[in-house]
Amino acid sequence: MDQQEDQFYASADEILHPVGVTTSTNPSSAAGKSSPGRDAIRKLFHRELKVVLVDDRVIIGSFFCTDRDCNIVLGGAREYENEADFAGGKVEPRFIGLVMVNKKNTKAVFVDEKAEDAVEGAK
Amino acid sequence: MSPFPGGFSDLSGSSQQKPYTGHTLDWGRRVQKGMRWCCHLTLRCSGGGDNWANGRGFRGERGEKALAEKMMNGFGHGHNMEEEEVEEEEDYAERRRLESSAHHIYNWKNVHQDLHGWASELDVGELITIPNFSLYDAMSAIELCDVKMDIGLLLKDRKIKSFEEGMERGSLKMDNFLAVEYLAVMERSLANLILWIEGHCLAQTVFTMLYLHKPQQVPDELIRTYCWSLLALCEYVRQIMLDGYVVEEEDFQVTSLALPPSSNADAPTAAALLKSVKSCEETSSKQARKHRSSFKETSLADDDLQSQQWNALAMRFRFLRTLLQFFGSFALRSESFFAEAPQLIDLLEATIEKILAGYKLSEEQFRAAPGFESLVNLHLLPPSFPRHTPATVDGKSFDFFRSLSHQLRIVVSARDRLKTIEGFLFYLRTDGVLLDSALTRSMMQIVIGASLVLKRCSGDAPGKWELISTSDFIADSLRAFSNPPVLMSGFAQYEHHGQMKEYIETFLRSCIASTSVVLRNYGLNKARQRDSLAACLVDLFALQDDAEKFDEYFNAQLAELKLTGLNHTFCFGSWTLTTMLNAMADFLFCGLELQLYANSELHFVYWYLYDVLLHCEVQTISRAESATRENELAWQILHEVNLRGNKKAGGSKKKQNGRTKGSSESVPRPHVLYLARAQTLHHFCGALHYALLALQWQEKIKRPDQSLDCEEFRYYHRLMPFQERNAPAFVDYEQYQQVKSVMARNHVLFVGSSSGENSLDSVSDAYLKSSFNFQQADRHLVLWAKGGEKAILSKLCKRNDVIVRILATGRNCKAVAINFDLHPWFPSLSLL
Repeated sequence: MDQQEDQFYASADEILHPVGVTTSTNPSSAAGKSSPGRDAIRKLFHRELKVVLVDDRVIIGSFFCTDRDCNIVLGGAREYENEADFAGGKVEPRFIGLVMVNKKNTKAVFVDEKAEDAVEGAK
Repeated sequence: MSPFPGGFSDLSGSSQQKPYTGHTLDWGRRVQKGMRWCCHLTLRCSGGGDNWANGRGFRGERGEKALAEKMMNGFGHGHNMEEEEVEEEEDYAERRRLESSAHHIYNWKNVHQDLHGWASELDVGELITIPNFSLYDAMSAIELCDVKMDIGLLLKDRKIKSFEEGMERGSLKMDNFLAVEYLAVMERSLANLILWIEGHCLAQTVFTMLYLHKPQQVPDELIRTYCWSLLALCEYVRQIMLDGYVVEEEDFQVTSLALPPSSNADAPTAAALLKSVKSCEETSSKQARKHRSSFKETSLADDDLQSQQWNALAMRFRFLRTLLQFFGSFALRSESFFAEAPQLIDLLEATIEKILAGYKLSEEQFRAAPGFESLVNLHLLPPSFPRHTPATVDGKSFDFFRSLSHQLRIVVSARDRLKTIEGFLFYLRTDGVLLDSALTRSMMQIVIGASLVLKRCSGDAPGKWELISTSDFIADSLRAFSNPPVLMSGFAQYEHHGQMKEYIETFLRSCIASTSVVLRNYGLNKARQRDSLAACLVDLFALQDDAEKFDEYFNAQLAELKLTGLNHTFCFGSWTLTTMLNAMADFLFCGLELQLYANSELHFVYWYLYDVLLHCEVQTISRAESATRENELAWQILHEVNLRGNKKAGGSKKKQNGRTKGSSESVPRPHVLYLARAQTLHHFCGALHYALLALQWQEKIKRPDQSLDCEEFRYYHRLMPFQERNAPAFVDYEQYQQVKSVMARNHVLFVGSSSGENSLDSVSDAYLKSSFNFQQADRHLVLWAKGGEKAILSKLCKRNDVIVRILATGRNCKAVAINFDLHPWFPSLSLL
C-alpha cells in the first residue's frame, strides 16, 4: 500500500511541479541552496516584522516567507491604523491572520532586534 | 498564528484594564479561545428548549435580572471551560510570562533596503520559506492594499470609530435631539433589527448603532430608554430562536463573533423598562399636544409638522411597549400569556396601522439618522467576512411588523388547535404556511413543545400551559381519526386480556418519536424540511409495518374476545399511512416550492402525486372515516347487548342511546376537511399532469436535448426516497410509461387513428381530462380553504381551466408559459 501511495504522490508531484519549470514551489528544494542573502533572510524567519504600508498602516506579524520580488508573507498579523496607534498602545489592533504585502505597497520594513537579543542572551 | 480572527467583548474589555505591554503575540490565541467559547455557547444553548417544558423562564428563576448582563453573557461568551482548556490556559500563561519578560518593548531595526538586497539573490520563482510552508499556504494569505481583499482600506473611512471616540470628539450627537432625529434613529435601528432577524450578522446590523454600545452613558432619556428596549428585544428574539431550535445558520445567526464592548451597569428590569417606555410615550404625546395647541394659535406650518412628528414618535413608543410586553410575557412563559396575547396583538396591529398612516420619513432623513456607523464593528469580524449589510429596508420596517403580527396571531391560536395531530397538521399546512419568518417558526415550535410534553415531564409542572402528555395526544388523534376499538373509552374492561395493554402502549410510544419529528419538520426552513422529510420517511415506513402487524394482532384478539362487529383492520394502519403519505406529498411539494424541478420534469412529479400519493391518501381517509363509523355503531350494539344481558333498566339505556346518536350527528367529522383538501390537491395535480403531458406531446414545453437526456434517470432521482417502500408500492418508470401509453393508445383505439401520442385526439383528450380535474378541484376547494389561499387557488383553477379548454380546441400557439408566481406548488399557465 505504501508503495502505491508513494507512487500516487510522486505522480501528483509531477503534475503539480512539472519538470523543466523553474518555479520551485516546494520549500525543500529551495532549502538546499545557500547564499549570504538567503541565510540572512532565513535568520529573520519567525521573528516579528513591522511593515509600514504606503497608507501609513502598521502591520506586525511573524515573518514566514518571501521571494525575489520581496513579497512578504506574515503570519498572525495585527494591523494598527497608524504608527501613533501602535506606539500609544491604547488601541486594540485588528487581527488579520496570514497576510501578504508586496513591495510596491511597502514603505518600510523593521525587524524586532529585541527578540534576537533575548535569544542570544538565552544561549 | 491563528486562522480565526475576530474579537470578543470581554476580550477587548479585559485588555483595557491591563496596562498595555506593546506585545500582542497573544492575540491570535485569545481569538481562538473566543471561537471555542462561541462553540460552547452554541452547544449549551441547543438544549435550551427544555426550560419551557419544565415551566422555567430563562429569566424566571433568578428573577428579572439586568438585561444587559444577560445580553453580554449570552452573546459574548460562555463560562464553561473544559478541563483541557484550563490546562492549556495555565501552560499558555506560563509561556506568556516568560515571553513578556524577554521582550517587553520592541527594538526595531530597519531592514527595508537590506531585505531587498538579500531577496534579489533569489532565483526567479524561488520561494524561501519557513519549514512546512508552501506556495499553497501563501496563496491563502490576504493581500494587503488589495481593494477586494483588504478591509483595512475601508476602515479608514469610518466617521466614528467607537462610542467613546465619538463622544470625546463631539462627532456623536448626545443631546438636543429633534423629533425627526428620534424617528430616524428608531426607523433605522428597527430596519437593522429586521435584517438581523432575517439572518444577517448582529454586529453589522443592530450594533451599528453606537448608542447601543453604552446606553447608560447616553444623556438623552428617550434614546437611552429606546436603547435598553432594543437590547431587551434582541435578547428575547435570540432566546426564542434558541428555544425553538429550528433555525439554521443561514436563517439566523444566534451568536455573533464580535460585539462592541458594553457595560452591564444600570440596565433596568423588564417591568421598569416598560414603565420608562410608557413615560417616553407620554413625553412624546405631551410634546405633540403642545405643538398642536400652538399650531391652533399661530397656524405655523412648522408647529403642525412638529406635532405630527411627536405624535409619530409616541406611536412608535407604544408599538415598542406592546412588542416588549408580548415577547416578555412569551419569554417568561407567563401564565396569562395566551389570555393577554390576542388583545396585545390587536393593539399592536392598531398601532402599526396608525404608524403607517402617520408621518413618513424621507430618504435623506432616514440616512441622516445620528449615531450610526455601518463599519464600526468591521475590525472585530474575520477578514474574510462580508463587508457590511446595507440598510435597505428603509420605510418598509412596519410592513414587516404588520406581517409579523399576523403571524403572531397564528402562533397564539395554535395551542387551541393542538387537539389531534391531523387537526394540527391541517392547521400548519393551511394557516401555518404564512409563517415565513424564522422567528415565528421558532415561536410555533416553542408553543408546540411547551403544550405537548412527555408524560414524565408533566408531573414537574402541573397545570402550567395545560400540558398534554404526548401519548394521550396520539391516542386522541387515533380515536378521532380511525377510532380503533382498543382505544375506545369502554374498552378498558378488556385490557387485562393478554398483552394487549402492553402492545397498545408500545405502539403509542413508537408513534411519539415519529410525530415529534413530523411536527418539528414544519419549523425548519424549506430546504432543510425537504431533507428532513426524506430522512424521516424511513422511520415512518417502519412504523407503518408495525401498525399493520398490530392491527392483525388486535383483530385476532377481538375475535377471541367475541367482540363481533368491531374491526381493527387498518385502524392503526390508516393513521400511520396518512401521516406517511402526507410526508411523501410534502416532500414533493417542498421540491416544487424550492423550484428544483425543470418544466420537463413536472409531468411525472404531478403524476406521482396525483395517481399514487394523493389518490391513496383520499382512499385512506375515506376508509378511516367508514371504519370510525362502523366501529362506533358496532360498539353501540355490543353495549346494548351487554346491557340487555345484564338486565339493566331500559330507561337509562334509551337515554344514553339518544345522546350518543345526537352527539355523533351534530359534531361534523374532521375527515370532511382532510378529505376535501386531499381531493383538491389530488385534482389539482391530476389537472396539471394531463395539461403538462399534452403540452409535452405537442412539444410546447422545452425539453433537454434528447441525445443527452435520460428521463428515466431523472424520474428515479426525483423520487429516490420513496423507492424503499412497498405500500404504497413504488411505481417504476416503466409502469409510468405504460400508464402514459395506455392513455394515449386507448383513445387511438377509440378513434381508430394510427398516430400515437402526438395525435390531435389524444392531446385534446388529455386537455379535457385536465379541464375536468380543474373543475373538480375548484368544487372541493370551497369545503376547506379560506381567505387568501382560497382566492388564489380558485383563481388558478379558473384561469388554467380556460387555458386548457382553449388548447383542447386545437388552437395554435407557439408556446405556453408556466409561472409559479401565484402559488408555490401550482403554476398558472398562459398562452404565448
